[in-house]
Amino acid sequence: MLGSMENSISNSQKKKGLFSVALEWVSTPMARRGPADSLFEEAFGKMDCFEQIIYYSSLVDWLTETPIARLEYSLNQEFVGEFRSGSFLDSWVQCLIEVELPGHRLRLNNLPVNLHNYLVRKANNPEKPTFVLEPTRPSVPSYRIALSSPTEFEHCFVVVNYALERAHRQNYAQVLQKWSIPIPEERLLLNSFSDCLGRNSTHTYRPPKQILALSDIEQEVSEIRHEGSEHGEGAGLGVLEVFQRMMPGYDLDILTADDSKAFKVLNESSKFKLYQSVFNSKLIKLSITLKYPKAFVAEVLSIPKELEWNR
Amino acid sequence: MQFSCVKQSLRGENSSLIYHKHRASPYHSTPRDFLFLRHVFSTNNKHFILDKSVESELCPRSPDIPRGDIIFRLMWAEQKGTDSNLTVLTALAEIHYKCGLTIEKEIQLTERYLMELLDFEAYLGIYQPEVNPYFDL
Repeated sequence: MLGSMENSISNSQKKKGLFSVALEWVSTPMARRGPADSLFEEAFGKMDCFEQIIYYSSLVDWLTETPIARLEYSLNQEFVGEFRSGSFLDSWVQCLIEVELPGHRLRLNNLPVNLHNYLVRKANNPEKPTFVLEPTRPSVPSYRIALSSPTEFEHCFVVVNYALERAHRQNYAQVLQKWSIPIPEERLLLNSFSDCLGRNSTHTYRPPKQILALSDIEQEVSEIRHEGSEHGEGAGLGVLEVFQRMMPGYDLDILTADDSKAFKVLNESSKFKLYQSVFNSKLIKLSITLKYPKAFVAEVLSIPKELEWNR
Repeated sequence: MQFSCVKQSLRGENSSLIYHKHRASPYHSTPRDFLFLRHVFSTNNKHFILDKSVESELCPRSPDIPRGDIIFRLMWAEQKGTDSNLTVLTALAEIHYKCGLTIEKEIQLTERYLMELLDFEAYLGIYQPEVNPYFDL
């Protein structure tokens, strides 16, 4: 097993983040991992998926003596680059990337990013060196971070990877000592993430499906209203906040922008235009011109009136 | 679409919990249903209708009817040019029907669903007798 682990490391670590490699390895069926020492296999079998990753990454440090293992950063690191959050429709933004060490925190233009919620991998972006922070939880947007030069990219990637790995280890340090204790929530989330493994295209990745509980939305909406009334801004506050809670990671302005590069025309007539997203084939857009005022159209369409519709 | 009803109204929040049921079709041999939260709001001179699947005890899943997921569906109405009597109505949707269809078939289903949903003249025919303002746009 150690041999196959070494092969796995040497084959893929240069291309991807440490945790991505570990995830990929863990998601490989046992039979394909190669012969294993029985004692090691027994011990390994007691661990759940997440614990295996932690253990694996410890071994990676030991086996490879990578810069990640040797470097013990103590100062904060700063890089200048670009980032893109949320969906593929978002645009690149110039940003200052700050990695707090040893606090294991990341900030993008002062926006704090909780590394516990992410795994990191390199992206296949031919235009500029890019890596991706892939969310492991629902309701968390992904981030793509690009740097101007390959040298700076490698440095930034190693530092972010290091901070992320330490953040995860800090979180799960106790788990290593208690192999037999399952962590249902984390394992569940991890499984949904590992479902996404193997997709090479940087465009088709989507965070795990987000189905919200109605009670959560109700609570959040009432909290927003409450905050608004405290500031004396009335009940009208919170339109976009509610949108963001329902659609985390999406930007309303970008969704509604007329971006011809993001959509290709599937069908067109004098009455309507049907589009398909270039990046997500399941995303369909339909546009129709009507001879009615917009308020009337919205009012009629949004009326949730009981009906039997047999057409 | 065969049936639609409101399971819960949150009038003060411009939201409602809506249930849709689709009859069986050549694409799926059994009916499909959807339970989603509809939030209506107005900003930047556009009126928006946002739908997203939710889970709720008010409408548990039926063992007989597989439930599809509206990952999101956003419809918005905006004035076309300077003519206040012309409106461009746009719908953007990603819907998973949970019936083992190929991506192409799912796309076709979404197309049909949107076309039907935005068939305003037909929709209006049902409602024309009275259109009372419901949401506070």
